[in-house]
Amino acid sequence: MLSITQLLALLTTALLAAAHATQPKTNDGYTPTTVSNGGTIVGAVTYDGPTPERRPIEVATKEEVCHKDPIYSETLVVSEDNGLRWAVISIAEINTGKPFPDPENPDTRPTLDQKGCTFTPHVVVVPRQHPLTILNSDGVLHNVHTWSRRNRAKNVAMPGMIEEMKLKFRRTETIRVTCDIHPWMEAWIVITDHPYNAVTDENGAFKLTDVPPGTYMLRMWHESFGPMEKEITVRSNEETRVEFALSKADRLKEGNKNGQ
Amino acid sequence: MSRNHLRSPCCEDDRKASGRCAPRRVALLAVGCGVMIVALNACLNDSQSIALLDSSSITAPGSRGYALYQANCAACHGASGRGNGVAAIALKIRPRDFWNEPFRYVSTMDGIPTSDDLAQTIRSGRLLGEMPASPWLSDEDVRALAEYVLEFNRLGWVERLSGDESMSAADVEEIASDRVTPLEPIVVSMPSPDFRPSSEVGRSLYVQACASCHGPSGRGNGLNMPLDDRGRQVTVRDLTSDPIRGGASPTELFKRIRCGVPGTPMPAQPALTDDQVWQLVFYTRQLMGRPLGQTNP
Ligand code: HEC
Ligand code: HEC
Repeated sequence: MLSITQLLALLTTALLAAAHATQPKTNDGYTPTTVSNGGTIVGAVTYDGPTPERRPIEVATKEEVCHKDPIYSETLVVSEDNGLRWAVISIAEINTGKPFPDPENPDTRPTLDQKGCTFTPHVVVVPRQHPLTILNSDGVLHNVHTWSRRNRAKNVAMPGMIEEMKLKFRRTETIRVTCDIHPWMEAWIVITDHPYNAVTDENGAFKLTDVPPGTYMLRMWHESFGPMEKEITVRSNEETRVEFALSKADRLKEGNKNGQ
Repeated sequence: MSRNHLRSPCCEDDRKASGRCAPRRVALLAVGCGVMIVALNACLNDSQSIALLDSSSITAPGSRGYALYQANCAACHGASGRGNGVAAIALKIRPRDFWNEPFRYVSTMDGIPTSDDLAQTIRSGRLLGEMPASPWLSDEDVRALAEYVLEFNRLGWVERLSGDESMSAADVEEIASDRVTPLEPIVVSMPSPDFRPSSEVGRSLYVQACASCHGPSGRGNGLNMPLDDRGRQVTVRDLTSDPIRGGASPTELFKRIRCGVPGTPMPAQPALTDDQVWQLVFYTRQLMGRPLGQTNP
């Protein structure tokens, strides 16, 4: 038999659950304004340590599109000058600043393509509640399988004849994405609650523009290294340089399976 | 009575022997005997999960679901719902671990079962899954059990998310509730008036959307090493000879094809039209050797 308190607890849980179902969190923690006198944060992420030799992955499928170009692992990509690719740079907490990129504009909207049996880009940043455009340039069946914890799990098929699809995520999280049909395919979707994020290029470089002057924690995340933070100060119309120098000791022992 | 208090006598040896604690003796006695099952429950869990079970009004001893669950389900699913009941060893297919595995037979696009989805499993059992039907349970009993097993799933999220330092206790509660709150179920409507089942159309859709996994002729031989969400090997269903566990009726097949089978590689198909899914339902039945008549979709 249920006691009164248990009944009450039950009721509250039910009510809370209902409330959650109808009120997804939005980007209301961030207010976009015009930033006229912002500063710029530029810098690079470097890794000075042993890197595995980069050789093409053996692709166990007969599908032709998967053999057009050699496919490489993107888990640890380092340039000759030690620049580390695919690191995510974000301001840890910021409540107001420049507007989000237009989610409908094909040039700026966050996009994840399935091309040559890889996910491109390997790391994509999406503001929460904004659509992520998923493309299938291959014309063969792929599935987008997310390994999320804070967000609901998704595993959606993208048959060859479907060229475009949209996905939305409710909460900030760094989510690994795989394809069960082509197990070497892997990408990371970074869900954020503000537009101050960058992914390092092939030289390890990054740039954040129109940052309101102030002192911030700048966060670096990379799947092979995990997070790192640095305090920085941004001044009006000035450039602030930041370097994240990583070494062997910073490597994660096992690969990262969930993006914390 | 404290559960911790009962923990040590029955499980230390088993824990050493197998690394996991599932004492047969106690469990066999447990079927039909509430008190002994409480003892088993205590054996199977560390103090944290016992605390979690006790913290929930749904899973705490004394709730409606508790007695029903212990009497009808614990033998397979384990007294605390981790899929490790005594009878589990004898089953070809693992009973669901409600804490750590998603539910598979759902009618929603986000992989979370509705109360009706769970009720259907509980009332009619799952073919080949060796999960028996329980026609003697009243509707209220079935609802209580559905709520009970879903609560295990929520506690599983609380348990996993609690390890994450970046989350407050309130975040953990909120996200855990969210992850067991389903979207509206999909509507399985009749095919449009000009719909005609066609082997050709069905076959071409099958080739584009299914054959990579189920193989060109449906034998389930398309994938190399398919894994479930916990990294254990799964088998892609052989559509020509394996029983369809979630049910082979057109409506159930429609739901499986549209919503996918969560926790396994089988994806949802949000991009197909209803008529395309119906073509696939007909084509799947054809592969199964049980084609559907033209008049009765
Ligand atoms: C004889 C063993 C056995 C008993 C008793 C049993 N189950 Fe199951 N149950 C299973 C197996 C095996 C599966 C996995 C079936 C599959 O994967 O197709 C399962 C799966 C389930 C599922 C998951 C369905 C889904 O969508 O994934 C639920 C819910 C469930 N059982 C609830 C119950 C409840 C409630 C009871 C008690 C009334 C019960 N079971 C009794 C063996 C059992
Ligand atoms: C990425 C691989 C993949 C794709 C694509 C896929 N399936 Fe599956 N399918 C699976 C796996 C794996 C299972 C077994 C799931 C399990 O272990 O419960 C399955 C199970 C099934 C089942 C049995 C469900 C049950 O209730 O037992 C049916 C029916 C089915 N698939 C039909 C289809 C159809 C039709 C398509 C195309 C629209 C399709 N599948 C696409 C991997 C796939």
